[in-house]
Amino acid sequence: MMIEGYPIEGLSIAGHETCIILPTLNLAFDIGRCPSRAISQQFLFISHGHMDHIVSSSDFPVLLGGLPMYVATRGLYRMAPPTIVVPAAIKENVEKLFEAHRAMDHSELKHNLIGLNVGTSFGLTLNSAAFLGEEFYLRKDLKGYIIYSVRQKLKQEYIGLPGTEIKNLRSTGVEVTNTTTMPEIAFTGDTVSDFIFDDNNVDVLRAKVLIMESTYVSNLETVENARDYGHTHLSEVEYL
Amino acid sequence: MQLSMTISTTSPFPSLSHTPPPPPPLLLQPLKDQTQNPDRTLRVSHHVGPPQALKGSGFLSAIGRAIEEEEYRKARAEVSRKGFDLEGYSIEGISIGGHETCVIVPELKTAFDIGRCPSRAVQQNFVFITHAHLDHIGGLPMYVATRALYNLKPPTIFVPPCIKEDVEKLFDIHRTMSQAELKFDLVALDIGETYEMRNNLVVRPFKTCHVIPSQGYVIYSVRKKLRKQYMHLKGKQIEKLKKSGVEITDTILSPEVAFTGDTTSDFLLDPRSADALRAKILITEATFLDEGYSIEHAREHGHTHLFEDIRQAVSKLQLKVSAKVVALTEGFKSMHTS
Repeated sequence: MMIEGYPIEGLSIAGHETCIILPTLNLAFDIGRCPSRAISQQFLFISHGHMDHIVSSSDFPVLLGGLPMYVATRGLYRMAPPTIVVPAAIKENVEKLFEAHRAMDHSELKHNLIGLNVGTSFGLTLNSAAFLGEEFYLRKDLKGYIIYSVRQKLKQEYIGLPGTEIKNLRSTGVEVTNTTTMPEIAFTGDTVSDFIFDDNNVDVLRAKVLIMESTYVSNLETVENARDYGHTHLSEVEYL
Repeated sequence: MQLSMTISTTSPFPSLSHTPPPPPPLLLQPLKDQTQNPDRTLRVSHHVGPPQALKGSGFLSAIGRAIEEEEYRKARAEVSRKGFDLEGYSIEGISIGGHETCVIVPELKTAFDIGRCPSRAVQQNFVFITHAHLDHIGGLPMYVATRALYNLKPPTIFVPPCIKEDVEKLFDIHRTMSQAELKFDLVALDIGETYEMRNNLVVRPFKTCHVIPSQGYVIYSVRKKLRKQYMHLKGKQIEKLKKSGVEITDTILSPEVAFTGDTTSDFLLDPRSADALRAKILITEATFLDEGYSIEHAREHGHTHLFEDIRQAVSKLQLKVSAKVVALTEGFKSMHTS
C-alpha cells in the first residue's frame, strides 16, 4: 500500500498484534509478534497509551511481545543493533525485559534503547536509499510519534542566482537556505479520539500521513464502550 | 513406535545487512472464534490522510470488504490447516531454525515450546518448555496474555527447574508494564520427576544435550491393568477384594508422545531416554541437513545433523529402525523439498 509516496505495510489485529512498517524509512511502529518484514527495519518506535487508558491486559504483548525476538533475530542475521524508541516511562522496564531474556537465552541482544519524553525529539539517520541525503527527526507526541522531514529550502532572495554564486555565498558563511520541517508521518497507537481536538496536536493533523487506530468498527459497540477501553470508534472518525 | 523428525533448518545467513532476509514461512493464522467478545477480534488496519479524506462511502465499503476478507481468511485457514495424523494423534505446529518452534498435539491439549505463540497454541492448556532459547520461549508472555484476554483458564507451564526463577522474573516485568494479572501455573519439573496432567496422563522429562540446559518430555497414558492372579475372578469377587483394600491392578505407563526440543543426537544413546524411544511418537529435531555444515558444527551448536536430503535420510533411517519414520515437512520450503 502506497500513501503519499510512502509504502506502508504491516498488520494490526486487536488484542493480538500491531506492527506498522514503513520500509522506505526503515522503521516500524510497534512490533506485535515481530512479523518477518519488521526485522529488516532499523528503527522501532513503541507507542503507549496513557497509563489510565490501559485496561486491556494484553496491551503490552500486543505492542511489544515480539521485541526480544526482533532484537535476537537481527543479532542472528548479524544485522546492526537496532534503535528502539520507547516512552520514557517504560524504558526501565524494557531494559529489565532484555535483562531477563539475556539471562535465559545467553545471547547479547544488542540494541540502542532510547526513552523519549513527550515533546522531545530524536534525530534519525536513515540508511534508506529512498531518502538519501534527507534528514528526519522523530518527536514524541502526547499519544504517539510524529516524524518530521528536515529540508533545506533556498531563501527567497537567492532564488534565481547561478549555482556558483550560491556556492560562494555559502563558503563565506552566509545562510542561503531556510530549514523547513514538515510533519510527514504521525502515528497515534491506541487512543481515544480526543487527541484530534487537542490544540497541541496540530502537527498530528498536518502530517502527510496519519496512522490512527479505529478499533471499534461495527454498530454493536457503542462509542462509550470504545472510550472505556481507550479506543476510537469508527463512527467518530466518520463524524469528523 | 514412529520416529518423526521435525524439520528445523537454519535459515541462510546473508552476508550483508542491507538486503532483508527471505521471510520465513510464518503461520500467522487468524484466531479461532473462541472469544466471549467477538467484536474485539477484528481491527482493520487502515492508513488515512487528514480526516477530510474519510467522507464518502468509498472508505466504508473498503472496511466492509476487509471484514469479508477476514472471514474468508478464517474459513480458508480452517480448511487448509493440516496436521499430521499419526497413531491417532494429530501433530501441528511450526519449527524454523532460529525463529520459532512450537509443536502442538491438540488431543493432549499440549504445546511443546511456544516460539512466537502461533494462534493455535493459545487453545492448549499445557505448555512444555524444553529450554530457554528465545525461539522456543519467546511467545510465553503473549500466550498467557492472550488466554487471559479470551477468558480461558490459567494455563500450566512446565519448565526445567534452572530457569523457573528467570521465567517468574520475566512475567513480573510484564505484569508491571501491562498492569495485568497474567495468571498461570508454573511447574518446575526436573528430569525423572513425574507430574500428573489428568487422571490418565502423566509427564516426565528426560535429559537432552543442547548448548544451554535443556530437557525433553515424555507424555505417558496411565491405565490400570488387572493383575494376573485375579484375572480368573468374577466381577463381584473383584469388587469385594477391591473394597477390602487389596491392590488388584497394576498401573501401566505407556509412553505416547515424546518431544526432544533442540539437542545433539547423544540423547539417543542415553539409557535413560529409553522411554522416549519407546514412545508411540517421538518428535525430534534435525536442524542441519546438508554438507554446508559439518557434523562438528551441528554438535557445537547443540543440534542434530541428518547429513543428507531429508527424504533420503528418512528412507535410510527407515531401513534401520523398526518404527515408522515420518518427516514433518508440511509447509516447509527448502531446496530439499518440492
